[in-house]
Amino acid sequence: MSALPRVKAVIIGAGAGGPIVAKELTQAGWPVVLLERGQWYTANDCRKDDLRNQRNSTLGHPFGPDDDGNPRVVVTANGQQRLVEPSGPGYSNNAACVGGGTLSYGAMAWRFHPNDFQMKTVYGAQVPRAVEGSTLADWPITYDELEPFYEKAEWELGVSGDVSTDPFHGPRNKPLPMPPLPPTREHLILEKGAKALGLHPFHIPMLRNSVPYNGRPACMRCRWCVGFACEVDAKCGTQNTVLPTALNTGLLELRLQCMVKEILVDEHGKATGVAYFDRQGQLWEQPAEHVIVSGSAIESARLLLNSKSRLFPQGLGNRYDWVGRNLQGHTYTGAFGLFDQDTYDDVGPGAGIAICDYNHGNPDLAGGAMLANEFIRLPYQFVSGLRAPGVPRWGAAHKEFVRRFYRRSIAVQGPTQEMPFFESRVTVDPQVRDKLGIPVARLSGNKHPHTIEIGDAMTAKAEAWLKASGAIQTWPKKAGQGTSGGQHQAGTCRMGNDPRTSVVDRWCRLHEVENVHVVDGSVHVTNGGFNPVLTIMANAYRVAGHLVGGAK
Amino acid sequence: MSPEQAVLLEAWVDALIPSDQDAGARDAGVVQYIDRQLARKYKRQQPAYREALAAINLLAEGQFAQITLEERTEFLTAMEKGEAPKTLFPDGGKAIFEMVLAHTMQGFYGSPRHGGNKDYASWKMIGVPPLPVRGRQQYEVKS
Repeated sequence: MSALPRVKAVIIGAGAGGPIVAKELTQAGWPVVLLERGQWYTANDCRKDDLRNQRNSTLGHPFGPDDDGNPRVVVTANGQQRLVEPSGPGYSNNAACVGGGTLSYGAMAWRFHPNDFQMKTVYGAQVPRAVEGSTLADWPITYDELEPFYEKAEWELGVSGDVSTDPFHGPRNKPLPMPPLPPTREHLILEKGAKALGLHPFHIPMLRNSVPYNGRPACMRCRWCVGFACEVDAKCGTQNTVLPTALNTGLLELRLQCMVKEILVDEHGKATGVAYFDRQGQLWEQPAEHVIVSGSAIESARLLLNSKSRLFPQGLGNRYDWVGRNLQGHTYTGAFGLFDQDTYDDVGPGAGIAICDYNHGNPDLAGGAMLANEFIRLPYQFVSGLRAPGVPRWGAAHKEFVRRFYRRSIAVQGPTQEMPFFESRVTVDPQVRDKLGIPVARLSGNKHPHTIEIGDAMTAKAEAWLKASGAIQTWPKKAGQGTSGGQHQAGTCRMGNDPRTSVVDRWCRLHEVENVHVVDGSVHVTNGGFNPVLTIMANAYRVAGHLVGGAK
Repeated sequence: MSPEQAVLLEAWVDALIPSDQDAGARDAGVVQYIDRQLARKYKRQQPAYREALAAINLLAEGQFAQITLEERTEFLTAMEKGEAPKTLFPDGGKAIFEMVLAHTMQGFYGSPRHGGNKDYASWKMIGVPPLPVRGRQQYEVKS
């Protein structure tokens, strides 16, 4: 293994968190190396292919990881093991490329609710079922501490929307930088229904330009949004915002197609850098003063668990067996409705209206979900996901259903607040290795029963909303059992004050290794009833700011 | 796929998405989609298709491509329920039925670039515009 020149910091993963840390560190004068296992795609890679994208990977997915040689082992509820390829079901894939999921996401830009940071305090006593058998806990930080960094993410990356009619969000110092996109037909239909019920509908905040911003154009409202790279570069990911800024400092070296094998430590238990494979499969050592792990909840846990040494026989940061625990994503529940008027107007991104009336304050439930309309449905997505009860799956009657209702249907759903579960976890498989010989992630465990309860309650709310909006028929979308991970994966390197029940401290530093930080969804103690990306981004700003302020 | 196999598969997918006032799977090139994917993403399913087409033709006494839509629908309904003869289909036909159904829906409703959804047949049926060249630029689609 050849050693390269030492740098101040090495960052692993150019997804939602890594590039923000890279920008903050390089602007403070630190020389940084950013290692990304995937490649750099651009607007030209949109391809508008309904069967091959990150949302629907029927024929594979364009932004990685490659289906060849990157398996995971998924253990089902009854103990059966399956070897799954990245585009297969249950893999919990996040794109492996520059920008990570932010290249092709739907781009909802939510701030968590203040209660989302204090779930144990808010609900521990009133809903004992939520605590029983779960690892429900408060975050070591509050909404107020994160607020300035939410704002920074909103303005530096660019968020459009209007939350002024949502009375349920935490305090804000500044409005969103961009107005919302004009409402779609679906939006107006649902707005009327929500108001009839006395709810508080508003425009979803989105990391998407509604007007020219930061030198990139406004959204053109096309059908190929979530799951695709934006063809006009109107979607704001880390790859077209903070990363170019970081590269412009001249202090960042971005290395593509580099897969980190392990974090190296010295005899004092301090990290000395990382070992990684380049695109030719050659092994390099990158010495660094600081190591920042931003690989997303499953891969970050996998890397820490694979970093075994004499001082850390169970993997790095894993003395108390908490690395990889509490894996949680979001259980999506909601409802479908059919209408006797056209709801479809072929205007993207589709999702636009939300209500936060049910995130908190549901009697006897520890949390809830934000409910919103679904992103624009490509024809194949409609066929594979939406069918009224009693309609056959094929033949003349099925064709007639699609013909009649493709343009006359609305889906409302939301990410259910999950109860973290110790047994829902990432480990490394004792046998299976990827193409580079690195032990692969193994996912096991299922959802806490109370998560399912919350999800079920949300289906009823979604059905009521659709009915009030004029749906002639509605039916629920219930929660499935099984491991919760997916693109909202979180929780595997929990932040906390007590080293015995968490992996990193409030500044996201490993309790047991002073120069290794984890900056991604892994550190979330709970994952809110919201898409988590803006929280990952805000936390990245917070941690990076502390790092340059506190370690000159 | 041999021409004989293509004819059998055409009769199969035609029962899954029949033609009516709008094109069905037969007209929309679904067989072409499946044929293409059997050389690519679904390489591993080649033997399954070969066996299934032979079996369903045996089931129809060698006449699967000639019998009526109603008769084909009946055979496929039995397979969907897993009630086809176990001598021909070890699981009564369930697994292979599901596979062909999934591939048919992909070929009919997916992007035309993969060989199915010819002339945007399904998108015309539901009333969504074809793929723009770039951005929102449209071009004329001849049918």
